[in-house]
Amino acid sequence: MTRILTVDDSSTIRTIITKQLSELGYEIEQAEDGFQGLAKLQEVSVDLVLLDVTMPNLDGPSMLATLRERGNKTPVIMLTSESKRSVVAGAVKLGISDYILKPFKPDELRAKVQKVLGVGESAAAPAQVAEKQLVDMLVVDDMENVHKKFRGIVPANITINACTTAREALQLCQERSFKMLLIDMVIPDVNSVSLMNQLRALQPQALMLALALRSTNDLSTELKGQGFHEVVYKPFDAAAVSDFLGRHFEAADVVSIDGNVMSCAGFDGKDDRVEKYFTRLKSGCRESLEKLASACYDDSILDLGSVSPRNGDRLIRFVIDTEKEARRLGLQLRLVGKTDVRAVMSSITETAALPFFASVSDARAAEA
Amino acid sequence: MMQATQVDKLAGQLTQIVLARLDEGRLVVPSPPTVVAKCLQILKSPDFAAKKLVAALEIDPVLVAMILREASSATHGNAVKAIEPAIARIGSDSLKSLVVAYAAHELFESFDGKIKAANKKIWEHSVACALLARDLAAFSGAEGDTCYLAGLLHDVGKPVLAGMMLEAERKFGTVKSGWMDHTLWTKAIAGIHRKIGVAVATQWNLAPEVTAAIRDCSDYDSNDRGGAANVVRLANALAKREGFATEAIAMEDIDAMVMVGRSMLGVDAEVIARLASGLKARVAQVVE
Repeated sequence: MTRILTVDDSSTIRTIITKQLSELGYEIEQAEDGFQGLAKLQEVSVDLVLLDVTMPNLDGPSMLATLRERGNKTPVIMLTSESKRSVVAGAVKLGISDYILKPFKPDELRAKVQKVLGVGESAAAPAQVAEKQLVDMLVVDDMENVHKKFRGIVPANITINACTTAREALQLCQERSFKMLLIDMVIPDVNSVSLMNQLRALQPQALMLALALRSTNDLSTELKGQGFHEVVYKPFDAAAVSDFLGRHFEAADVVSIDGNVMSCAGFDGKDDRVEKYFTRLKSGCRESLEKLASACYDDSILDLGSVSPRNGDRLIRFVIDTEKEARRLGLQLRLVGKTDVRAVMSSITETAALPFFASVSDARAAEA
Repeated sequence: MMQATQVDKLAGQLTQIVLARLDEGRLVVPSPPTVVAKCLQILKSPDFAAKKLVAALEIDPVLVAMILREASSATHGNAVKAIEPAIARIGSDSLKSLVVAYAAHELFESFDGKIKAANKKIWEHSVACALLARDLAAFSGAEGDTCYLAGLLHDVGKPVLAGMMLEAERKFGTVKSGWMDHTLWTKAIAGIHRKIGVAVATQWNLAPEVTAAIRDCSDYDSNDRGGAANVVRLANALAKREGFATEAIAMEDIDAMVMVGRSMLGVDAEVIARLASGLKARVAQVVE
């Protein structure tokens, strides 16, 4: 078991540390001053020392110096209310691993202890990440109408959070994990490039997109030079938004599952991206069908309610392939869509024969 | 070359002279350019009249061009051709920072080649410190523009002092050129430059929070953990660690200040590393 020694003249601090670190499964040893600390280290071997600075008999820096003179290289974290440069720099010279200022928060103690013990990546970090809600996009724009318009053109299966101030954006980025951040370039009293830099420090995995007003001068080169990945121009163009969604979201993002219903996101982008969209759709449906088969469903509803009939041939090919895949997995496929999509499906024998409904509830009723 | 004891003596004398003048209110620190003083006065009011500010600014075409350039940059959106919409776009807080930065930069200019080179280094360090301070402020809860300005001006006492010493050198006349070597200079400024910085901030009528942050940023204050002075203190250490030091530094001193600052403000080492990444390019953009 990993053992930690806390050296502090305050019994309250030793008790708090013991309680908090015992909960993480560590064995805690205690000492009241530097002499006791050195004696304890001769009795038992420890993996980490949490060391106060000001203590009677022998203070922290003196204990640390003696420890190092004896060739003991046990990692040490200074845990103290002392913040004088000379004192801390002296301890840095003697090789302390980190520093915690009193009064401290339990989170800081746990994080620094685990990091020094090398368990940060394997044990603690995934748990912390798992606690964060995963959201696809954060839109930061002081105009609420922009949030509304954006929600209107982004498929419903892509989750969006929106806020109007830098403070809210920072708060959300501390609490949640985002795949993509869209930051308006004109927020009163906010330097958007600075804000992007601050948000990136919290969300290093996220794509940073600048929201800028459509204009004659091309801002993309300058903005990319400042760290943005891309520029999305306002007022929004549905085709351009579909394009960038196509570029940045995976196959799974165009198909969402609810029970045995697979809902396909729509696409209104440029023609040269249509093929890519259908490839993602097909791949997303294949993954979804495998999930439904492994959950022992007998049938599945393919909701094409958001899909446009504009690319009829490709749509038919996609439906035929998906139905074939469903059959291979032992699932019966029912289609849901608008009348124009129904007309496309009726145009050839293979798809005309598939059960087609006007709504998901109709398809469910037929299933019952 | 002066002996170490002579250096100490002279540095001590200089410090005493400057401090005595400061105490007696006889130390003349540079005033901001009239246009800057006027703008700062107007910007003090939250409901300032944009037309009044435009009229004040128009006296200085360089400042107007700078504001238009900032408002037209990608940071704020797309091209703006008139000063009034540019002011509205930048916002009063950022405009204040911009105007002060414009005036402060002037203080780092010198006719003396050696001092000019030294001041350039201090200016780059100050810009790095200001950028980091503004970013760190977002995590500590301190006000971003206050931290930016305090970061920008935390060393402003150094060039002002250099100018004063140069003036003294010229006045004494008999003293050989180059009498003020780097060791003397460092020693002389160590104890007093921040006080002069406070005098400049006061003279320039900056917000009391900015002046206080300049005054208090030499040491951390655990009673105001997320305060602007602590933010500037950490930003100062980080700027030095990132290569923007103005003199030789002891790495353990810097590491100690960063360790204390991280715990003081409650910011992760990873977040700090990400904030500092790309700093050189960001400083270059401002300094250009």
